[in-house]
Amino acid sequence: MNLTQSMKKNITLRRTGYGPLALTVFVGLSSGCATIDPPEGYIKVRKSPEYDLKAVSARGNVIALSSRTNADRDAGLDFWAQAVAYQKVDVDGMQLASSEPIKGKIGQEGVLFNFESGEGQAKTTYLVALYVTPSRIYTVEATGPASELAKDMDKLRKAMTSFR
Amino acid sequence: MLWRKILRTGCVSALMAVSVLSFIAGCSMAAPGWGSPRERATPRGFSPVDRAAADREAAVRVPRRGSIPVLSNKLDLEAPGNTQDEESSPARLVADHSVDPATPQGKRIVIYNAGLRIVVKEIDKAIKRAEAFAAEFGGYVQEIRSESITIRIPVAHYREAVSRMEDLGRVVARQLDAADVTEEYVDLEARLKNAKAVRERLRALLDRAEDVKAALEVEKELKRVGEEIERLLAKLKLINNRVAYSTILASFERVYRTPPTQQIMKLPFLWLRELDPQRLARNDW
Repeated sequence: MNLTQSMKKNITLRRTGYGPLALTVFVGLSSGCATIDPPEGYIKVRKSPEYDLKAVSARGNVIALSSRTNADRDAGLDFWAQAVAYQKVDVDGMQLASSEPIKGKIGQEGVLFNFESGEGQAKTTYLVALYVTPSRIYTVEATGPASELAKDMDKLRKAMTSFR
Repeated sequence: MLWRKILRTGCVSALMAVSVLSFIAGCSMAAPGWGSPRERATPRGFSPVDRAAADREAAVRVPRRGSIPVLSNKLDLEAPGNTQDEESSPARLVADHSVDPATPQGKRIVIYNAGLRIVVKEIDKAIKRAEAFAAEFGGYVQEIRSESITIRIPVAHYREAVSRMEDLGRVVARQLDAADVTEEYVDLEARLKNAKAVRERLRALLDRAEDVKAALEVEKELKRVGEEIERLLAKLKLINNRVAYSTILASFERVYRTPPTQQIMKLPFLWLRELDPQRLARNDW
């Protein structure tokens, strides 16, 4: 009975073709090995000690992925989304321009924050995409001068939702 | 005949010159030499009546230093705005209260002013209450602005009025001044008496002027002395008013209740603090 069910499940995975991918993602996310597709025109920085992946554009925009252990398995996306907003707005004094739910490449739920600081020529945009699993917390950050980052906004958004 | 006319005109001019010089110098008539018999002698060309006039003039002397008139705060002072004719000079306020200021018992002529800065909840209400104080103490309102009021209070109620004003709110600044104007007052009064004496002498001369030219010259001088008397009277009147009524200026500030500053608690997660665009943009490779 159990064998039959297992075989059916394998057949289903084989049919859809997503089985190995989902399994790989699950294992990867659980072990902290997540990644994103850098935006077109951005190059990866190979030896960034503080980030799992970091890429820059020729105009100075930066995007980076980092992860850390989730302090509590019960701390989900809502909790950490509130914590990120509190830290950046109330503690650091940035302005929250927008926040919206996003999904990763395989459907992981996340939140994309758009923070701003400074005015005029010194205005800076800071994007943070947050993904949370019971064991890990992933953030994809991007920043640059507001005018420059606005030009790459679509590419950056695409890169942030390529999280897997 | 011609000789006699020249002599008479010259004498009139000389006498006027002496009077004018003594007046301009602000000298009291107790100045050395002024009251000497030689100077009080009837000038040539004047009738013996002039001597009597000179004697009257001598009788109107500035009080000796030991009898300086002083204004007592306990006097029933005139209400502000009441006019004084020159006959009811400021000396009326100080009559029979002459005390030597140099003595321990001497009283000084003092002008009291107070400036207060008070924080209140409602400025309009505070100003209305200050207006009520002015009326209550027999004073009056001198000026009202959007956030301040100046009231004049009879000097007898000065301290009480200041105390009541301070009760209107929280006093953040206080300045109480007492300006001693005794010397200025005495000087003005001496000048006034001197001017009046000169005027009497000129009037007497005018009565005895025997030609139009001499009369015109005396008239001209009389006019000038009269104007000086008016000026002195005005100054004395002003001082009297300032002495009789203390000035209290109260400036009000509104209480602004500042909301308590929100306490920012840092979350115990280092990585949240590391979410930083500057850290991200740093060239760490």
